[in-house]
Amino acid sequence: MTKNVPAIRAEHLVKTFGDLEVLSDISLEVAKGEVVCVLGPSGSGKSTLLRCLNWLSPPTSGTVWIGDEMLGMERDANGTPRPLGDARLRRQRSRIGMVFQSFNLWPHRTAIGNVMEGPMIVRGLSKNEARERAEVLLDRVGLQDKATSYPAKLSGGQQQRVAIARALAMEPEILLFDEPTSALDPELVGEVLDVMQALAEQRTTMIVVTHEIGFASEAADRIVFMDEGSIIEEGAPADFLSSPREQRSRQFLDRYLKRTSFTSFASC
Amino acid sequence: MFNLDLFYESVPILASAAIVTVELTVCSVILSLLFGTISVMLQLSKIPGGYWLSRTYVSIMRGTPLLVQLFVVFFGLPLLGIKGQAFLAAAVAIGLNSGAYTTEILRAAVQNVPEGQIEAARAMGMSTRQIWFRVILPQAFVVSLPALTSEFTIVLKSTPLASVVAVTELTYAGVVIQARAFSAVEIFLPIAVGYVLIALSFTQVSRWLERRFRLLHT
Repeated sequence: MTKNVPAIRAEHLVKTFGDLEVLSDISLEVAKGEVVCVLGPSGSGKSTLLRCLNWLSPPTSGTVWIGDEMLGMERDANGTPRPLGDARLRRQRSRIGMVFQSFNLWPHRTAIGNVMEGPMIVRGLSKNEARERAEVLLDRVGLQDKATSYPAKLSGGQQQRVAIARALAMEPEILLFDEPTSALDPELVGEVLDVMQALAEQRTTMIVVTHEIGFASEAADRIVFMDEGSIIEEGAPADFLSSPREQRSRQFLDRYLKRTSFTSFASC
Repeated sequence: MFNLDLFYESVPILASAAIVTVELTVCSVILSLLFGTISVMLQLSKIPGGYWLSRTYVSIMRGTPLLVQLFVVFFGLPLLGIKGQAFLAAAVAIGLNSGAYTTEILRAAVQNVPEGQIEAARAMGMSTRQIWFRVILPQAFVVSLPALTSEFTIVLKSTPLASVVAVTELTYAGVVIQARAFSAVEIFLPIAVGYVLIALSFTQVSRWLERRFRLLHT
């Protein structure tokens, strides 16, 4: 039975800020081991969707399931949903990893300190266990020699790789990436995408909001295209990128190709 | 004439009183940090009534003379069954007073911790308490070190007020000797030097802490 339960499932998510509807009726399922890339123009609600998926910003209505557990909500004896207690919400959140656009490392802890923090504080691992786990992960993101460096001494790409290791240290069932390379200098994007590509190849369940269409075409099992708070189209990368069905997807891809054609020719 | 004999005689007495001054300052500073931390957490977490409580505390402490606060605490403690504790009363009064300023110093630093760091902690499953103690406060204290040092030299210079409830700290010892010897300069000159030395050593501790933690923020 568990085989068929999706890793994460969102049903009819709506998110409004005042009069502004940022998400309108989004439903999305991601299977275990699946890599989904979410594309779309700025302001289309991609980041808001991710923030609803780990309850950082609870949706106005709709439900999210991780495995077979309802996220952030529970039903009382009459079956009416109500917000989940803080301790249980935190336990659920710890099953979902998140990597942010602006890294959000803690500047008063070293690289390895950042990675050890969650396992120690949230999972209750001993310092030694946490250190062992963190060393393995820093090694995986190619930063074993930067373990004792503070974030301020690391490049953006290195900081983001530490942030990925930090998320992995919680051994999450799902990893959410919120435009992980958008704040990086162009020459640093590659090292982060390489790490993510490796994760994708190891069948890590990932939802990646990104503008890196190249990465999406190589790493994603499925592309979801969003505009104005709705999912406009989804499909396998090859289909979506070569023959998008919807007008808005075509416009988006055309604009993207025009913007990058110069650089891609230059690199040929 | 500068009476050297009086000077030599009074220095050992003053030295032991200076120890009381240092003890009183250290205890007041610890209490100030404690009250300031609790107050800033009340003010900025979403605990019902917390904001109001903290703001009231800060307004009262900043709006009344320390001497009055000292009397209130000194004569109030016996009502709680704590009698004859002049040193404790002085430390609590000065700590409460300084805690209001510590609140304001920490508030600025806490509000400067980027929201993203807090979200990263929350996304990982940390509790609000864990976020305060692991993410926010360690950074806030480091950022506030210079301002806190300046606040705590003010605490040092407030300790002579404890003499009104008969704590034999440095200034009070001077007053007692002067009353017997009818001579002031030989006594209050070394006292002034004593305060400077204590203040300087506090500043040195703060500098050392700053150097130790500087690398985190550059």
